[in-house]
Amino acid sequence: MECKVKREKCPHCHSDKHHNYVVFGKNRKITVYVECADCHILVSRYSLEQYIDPNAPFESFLKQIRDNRTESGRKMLNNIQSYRADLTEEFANIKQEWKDHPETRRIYEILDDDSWGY
Amino acid sequence: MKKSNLTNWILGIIVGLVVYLIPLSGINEAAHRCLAIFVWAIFMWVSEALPLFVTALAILFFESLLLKPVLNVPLEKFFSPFFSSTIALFMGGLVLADTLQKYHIDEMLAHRLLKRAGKNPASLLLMMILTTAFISMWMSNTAATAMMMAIAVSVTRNISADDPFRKSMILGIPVAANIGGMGTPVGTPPNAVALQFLNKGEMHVSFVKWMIITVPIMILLLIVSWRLLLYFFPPRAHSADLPLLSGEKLDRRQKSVLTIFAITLILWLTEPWHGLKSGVVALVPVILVFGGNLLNPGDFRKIEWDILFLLGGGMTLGAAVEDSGLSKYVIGMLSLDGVSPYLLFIILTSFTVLLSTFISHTSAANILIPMAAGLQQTSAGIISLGIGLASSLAMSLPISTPPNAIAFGSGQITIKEMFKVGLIIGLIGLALLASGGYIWFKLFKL
Repeated sequence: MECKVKREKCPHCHSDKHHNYVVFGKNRKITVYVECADCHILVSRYSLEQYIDPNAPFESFLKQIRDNRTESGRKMLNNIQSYRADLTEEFANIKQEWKDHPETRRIYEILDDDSWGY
Repeated sequence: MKKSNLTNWILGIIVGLVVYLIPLSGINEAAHRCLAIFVWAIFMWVSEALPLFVTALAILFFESLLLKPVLNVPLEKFFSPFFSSTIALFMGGLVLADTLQKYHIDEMLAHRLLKRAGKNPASLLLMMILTTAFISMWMSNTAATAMMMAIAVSVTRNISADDPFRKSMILGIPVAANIGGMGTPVGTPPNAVALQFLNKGEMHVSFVKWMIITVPIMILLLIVSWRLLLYFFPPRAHSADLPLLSGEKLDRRQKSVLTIFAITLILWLTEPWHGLKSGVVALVPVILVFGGNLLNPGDFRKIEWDILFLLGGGMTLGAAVEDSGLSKYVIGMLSLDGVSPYLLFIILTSFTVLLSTFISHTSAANILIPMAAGLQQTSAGIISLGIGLASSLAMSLPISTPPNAIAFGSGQITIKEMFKVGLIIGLIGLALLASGGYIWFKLFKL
C-alpha cells in the first residue's frame, strides 16, 4: 500500500475519541470540525474534497462527477471503477496499514513533506 | 508516468519520425512534415498516452517548430484557432451550463418536466429521454447524464429487480444525452469542430440554422431509441414512481440566471436579424454572469479549459493540413476525383462511428474533419456536419462516451445489452444520415 496512515489523537489529552461536526453552507466548502470527545477542544478542521457514502457509492459518484468532467469514456470508466471498489475492504486494509506502520507525525508535518506531493 | 503511457509516448515519436523519413513521391516538404504531425496526433489521441488537451498543445508546438520554417504563413495562423469565434461560442456555452448547474436550474427544469410524465412506464421513459436530451443540448452530455441518472436510479429502486424496464431507464439516459448533444452547436465539442469547418469561406451556419438542420434528426432518433428500448426491455410493472421532486420557487439569483440564459438564447436564435455572430453573442453570458457576481473568479478558473484547448488543437491541425498542401496531396493520392460526394459521405460517417466507439468523440472529429473537409471541396460542409453528427452516434461500448461509462457504472446493465442497443441506434442513425439526412443537408446548400 503506497500510503501512510495516522490515527488522529487529541494533542491536548491524547484521546482518540472524537466528534465530527460537518458544516454545510451556501458558497462554502463542506467543512468537518473534529472535536475531542473527552476534553472538547478543537483537534482539526478539514475541507471536504470528495464524499462517498459506503452504502450508496454510485449515487455519491453521480453527485461529484458533475464538476469533474472528462472527454474520455476510458477515463470516466476508470473513475467509476475506483468508486465501485469495495470501501469496507479498502478500510480494513487501511486499518491494517496503521497497525503495521503507524504514522506518528503531526498532520501539518506530513503536508510539509515534499515526497507526498501535497 | 505509467509505463504503458511512456511506451506509447516513445512509440508515437517513432511513428511520426518513420512517417517523415519514408520517401513519398510528389509530396512537398511542408505537407510531409504536416503528415508526420498528423499521424503522431492520431496515435496520441487514440492511445491517450497524454491527456487529450496536451496532445492538442503539442500539435501547436510541432507546427511552430517544424512547419513554420518551411511555410510562408505567420505564426498566428497556428495560434489563432485556439481563440477563434467557435471557441468563444463553446466557452459561452460552458459558462452558461456551469451557471445553470451552480444555481440548480437544470435540476429544477428536469423536475418540472418530469412531473408531467405520469406513472405509465412507457411515458415516463419517453419523458426521461426527452428531458435528458433537452438538457444535453445546452450542457455537457456528462453533466446531463450525471444529473438524470440520479433520478433514473431512484426510479429503478421502486421497480422489481427482474423487470427489464430497469434497464431501459438506465440505458435511456446516455442514449438521450448522446443524441441530445447533436441539437445545438454547444451541445457537444465535435459540433464545434464541424461548425468551424462549416463557417469557412462563403458558407455560414448560424446557431439557429444548426438547430433547424439537426433538431428534426435528433427528435426522430430519440423517438426511435425510445421504441427500441421498450422493444428490448418491455416494462412488466403497470406503473413507475418518480422520487419526490423539488417544487421550489425560483429565488432572485436564479431568476437572474434564467434571464441571462433567455437573452443569450434569443440573441443566438435571431442572428439572421441582428447579424451578431454566435461567437460574439456567447460573450454576453460570460460578461453578465461574472460581471453580475453570479459566478466568481474561482468559477472562471474551473471552466473546462481542457475541452477548449482540445478543440483548438483540432482546428490548428486543420489549418496546417490545408496550408501545407497535405489535403491536396491526399486527394491526389486517393484519386477521389471520380468518387461521388455521397459515397464519400457514407464511408466517412460510418468510419466516424467506428472510430468514435473506441476513442473520444472530440478526438475523432479533430482527426477526421480537417482531412475529410479537404477531400471534397464542393461537399466539405455536408461532410463536416455528417462527421460531427456521426460521432454522437457512437455509443455501443462503455468506453465510447462518458455517459455510457456512467450508465455501465450503475451495475444494472451488461456490456452486451449496451452493445446491442448502442449498435442498433448507431446503425439507424447512420441510415438516417445517409438517406433523408443527406437530402436534408443539401436543401440548406451546405
